[in-house]
Amino acid sequence: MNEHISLEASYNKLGKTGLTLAPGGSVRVASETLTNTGTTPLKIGTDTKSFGIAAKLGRNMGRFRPFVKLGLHRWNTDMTFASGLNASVSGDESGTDLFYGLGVEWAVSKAVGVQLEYESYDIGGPDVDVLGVALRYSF
Amino acid sequence: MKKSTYVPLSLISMSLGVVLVSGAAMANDSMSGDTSFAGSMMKRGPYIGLGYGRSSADTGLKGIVNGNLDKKDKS
Repeated sequence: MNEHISLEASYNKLGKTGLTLAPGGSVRVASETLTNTGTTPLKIGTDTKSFGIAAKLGRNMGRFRPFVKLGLHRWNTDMTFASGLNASVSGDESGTDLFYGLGVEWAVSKAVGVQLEYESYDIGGPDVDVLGVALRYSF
Repeated sequence: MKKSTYVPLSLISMSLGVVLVSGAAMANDSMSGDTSFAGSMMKRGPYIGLGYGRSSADTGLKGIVNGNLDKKDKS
């Protein structure tokens, strides 16, 4: 038997974005469509975080360990809106959606591994796709 | 080519997990001789992880803010 199954909880800072929306323009933020009805550009900033739990299935192949995982995550997007008149408002949106990942881990030792991973997070319809590296330490 | 005002996303993740089933445990239990191969396999028990990732601006754009890009400010 070369498989391993694990349960993994994770906290992810999914990053910040910012844009300037011209008068009359509109964008979709998470599941809401926003339109700038003013006469000055509107600056929009988002900051998204998520907490997830996933089942992870891997297969030991010498020092390499390909894996897949599937889970649910609770995400929250903080939003700020600022006009050119120094007026700003803020809000947030959250939801619970699926995420999945796949990758390969290289075992440096029995306790330490380095993994290259692709993950895709559904945040209310659209996805955030991530390519990253991670360090794992087993007790 | 459209000039974007979006910034690339930087992603940081912290994880805490537990290996419930592992071939390493079975191999260690059954192998009394050469354990070099079993030693490289992930053992049962808890682990922690720290990760860093990147997503392109366009990908992040689709994920967090999407739609009507032709109307956005190009300045």
